[in-house]
Amino acid sequence: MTYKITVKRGKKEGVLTFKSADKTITTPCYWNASKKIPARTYTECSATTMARKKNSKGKPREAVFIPNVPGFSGIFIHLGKVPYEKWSDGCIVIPESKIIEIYKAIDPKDGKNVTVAVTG
Amino acid sequence: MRNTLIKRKLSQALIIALVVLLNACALHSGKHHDKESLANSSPQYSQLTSHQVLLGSLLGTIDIKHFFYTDQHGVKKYDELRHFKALEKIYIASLEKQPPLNHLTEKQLKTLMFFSFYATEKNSAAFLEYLAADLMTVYNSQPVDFLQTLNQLPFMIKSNCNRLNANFGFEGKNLDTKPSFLTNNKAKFQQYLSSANASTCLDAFK
Repeated sequence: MTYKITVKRGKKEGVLTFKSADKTITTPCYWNASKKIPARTYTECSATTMARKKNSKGKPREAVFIPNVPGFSGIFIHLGKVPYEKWSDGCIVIPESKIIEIYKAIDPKDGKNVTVAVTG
Repeated sequence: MRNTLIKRKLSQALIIALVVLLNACALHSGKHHDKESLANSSPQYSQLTSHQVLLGSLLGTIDIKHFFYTDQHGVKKYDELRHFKALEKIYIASLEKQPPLNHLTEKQLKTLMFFSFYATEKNSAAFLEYLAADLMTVYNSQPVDFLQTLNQLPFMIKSNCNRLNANFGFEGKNLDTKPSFLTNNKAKFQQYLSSANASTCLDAFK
């Protein structure tokens, strides 16, 4: 099973869409304007957790890891809150409820089974 | 025939001796890296010490054999996520306060400071974000230790003071506390950092 995430960036805010065989999730997304990752398609991404950061329940923060990003490393899609862009040093940020929903839908975890297409 | 047998026996003995020697080195190294040891990690990188992983990550000399996966076509590929998780494990260990003083050791402080340098040089978003939250907490807990250690590492001043400054506003917190932080800490910076290092550090807050 493979999964697709598209990130369509606007000037300050974008739209992230997750698609699996039986589920579509759409949410606003944000990033740090001064640390914008290149627009391209990233394959072999993974649902995982960030051990140093916690979600609002005190558990490791759910995320999607994006490898092979030119000029960057350690890039994730992870949770944020208002002001969203202040949660990013290059990562893509979405509301917590949405990243948890996406994380739960992807199986297996750490599976390199997600493609993330970033435009804009 | 007899010579061949002797050569084979000698080769086997040499291999066994090397294995014993490497294990001894790993054990010796483990004594210095208790908290950071990767000995319980996956076999691909269990033979590396924390500092080998850190330095190899910075220099790009980590061998693919330590962090790899096999893709659906049977091809072995570099596993960036696995590499990240190995670094993350070292990072978290560097924040574990040590008894009896319940503080971070000089070695842990230096490891954290190395992470600031590494994250800046490699543009590692996750570690930059981790440090924006964690480094100020460490500084506030042990300001003198922090500054005395940082003063030994002039090439890491810029990246670490940048991460201290990043705390103001990160995740929408501490938006208005920078002026009072500088008022309360500028003198400490000037006391425990050399003049040049203090100047470099304070520039990071502008």
